[in-house]
Formats: sequence, structure tokens, C-alpha cells
Amino acid sequence: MKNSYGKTNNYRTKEDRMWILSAYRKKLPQLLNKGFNPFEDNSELYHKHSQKSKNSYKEHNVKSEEVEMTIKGLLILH
Amino acid sequence: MISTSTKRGYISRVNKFIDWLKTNLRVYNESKINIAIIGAFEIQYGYFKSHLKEFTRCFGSLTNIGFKRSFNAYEIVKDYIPDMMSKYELLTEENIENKEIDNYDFKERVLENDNFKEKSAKTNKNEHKKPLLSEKEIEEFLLESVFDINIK
Repeated sequence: MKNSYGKTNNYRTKEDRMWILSAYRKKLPQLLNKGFNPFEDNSELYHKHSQKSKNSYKEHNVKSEEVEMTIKGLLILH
Repeated sequence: MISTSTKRGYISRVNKFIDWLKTNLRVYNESKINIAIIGAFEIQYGYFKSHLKEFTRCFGSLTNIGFKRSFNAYEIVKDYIPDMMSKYELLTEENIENKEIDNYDFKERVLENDNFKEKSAKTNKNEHKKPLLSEKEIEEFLLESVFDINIK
């Protein structure tokens, strides 16, 4: 597996480069814990995760709409 | 060197003075005086009383040898004032000029310190700059490069 530097080389100072590399270093174990494997096909797992995140986003939106409606209703009643 | 009896006399006089203050503070100040100040005098009186007792216990036998019993303020002043004066510089014309120069130096130093503080504040601002990449960008890059996933 080749080294991955990402956008590190777009930045000139050591501080900025270290910031980006450490961000990659922190994120990588999180993805590995989610089940992603660099030696296998991860497309299915990615779709599952993306659908989950979409559903949770929809649920969040529905809930926020419900809350908004109830607040509006309460305001009308008063 | 001040004799033991003189010291004891001095302590007892101070003690009496504080005792008098303690009892008469309210008389002269009426309601203007805070109760905490009266309490402070009370505590000071207690300290002096115990100190005097301790002093007579330790050195009481020495006073009977035949030291001078009369308390003389002039002797105390003569002993202590030269020592005190030597600690503080007398203000002469030369000293005043020097002090003005010192003050000028002090002002310059203050200005330098202010500049240094401004510079350090600027560097601190740089330290707290916003993140260079968002979490989503980082995740997408890792998924594409490490885990071979086509996101687009």
C-alpha cells in the first residue's frame, strides 16, 4: 500500500502539514472500527453507512419539523 | 544594645496604649467605626499581652540584676532610626535626577512590554485559526485513497 499524504503538500508550513496529517491519523482508526478494510471491497459497507446517515438526517429533519409545528400550534393557541 | 527592662517597659506601654484604643475607639468614632477594626485591636491587644507574659517569663530574672527601669523613648529612637534611615536613600538633587532617568527607562520598558504582548497576542490568534480541512473532506479522501471507494 502506498503512502497517502492527501492535501498535505498543498501547505507550506510544518504546522499546517502536521495538522492535516494528524487529522488523517485520527480519522483512520475510526473508519477501521466501522468495519472498512483496505484489502477488501468496501462499496457495500459504504452504501449501508451512507443510507444510515441519510435516514438519520431525514429522521432529524422530521423531528425538527414536528417540534416546529407544535411550537407554532402552541403560539396560535396562546 | 537596649536593656531588658527597657524592652519590657516598651512592650507594656504599647500594650496599655492598645488597650486604651480598644476601649475608646467607639467613644471617639461613635457609629462610624467598623466592628472588624475593634476586633483587630482586641486581637492585637491579646498578642501583646501574651508576648509580654512570655517576655517576663524568659527575661524577668535579668531585670532584677540592676538594669535601668525607666523607659526612655529617646534611646529606642537613637538605636533604631539610624538603621532604618540607612535602608532608605535620602533624596538629594542627584538622586532625583537619577530617578527621573529611571522613570524614563521604566516608561520605555513598559512600551516594550506592551509591544511584546501585542506580538504574542497576534501569534496566539494564529494558533487558534480555523481547521484547514473539514471532517467530511478528510473522510472522503481516506475512503477514496485507502479503501478504494468511488464516492462521486
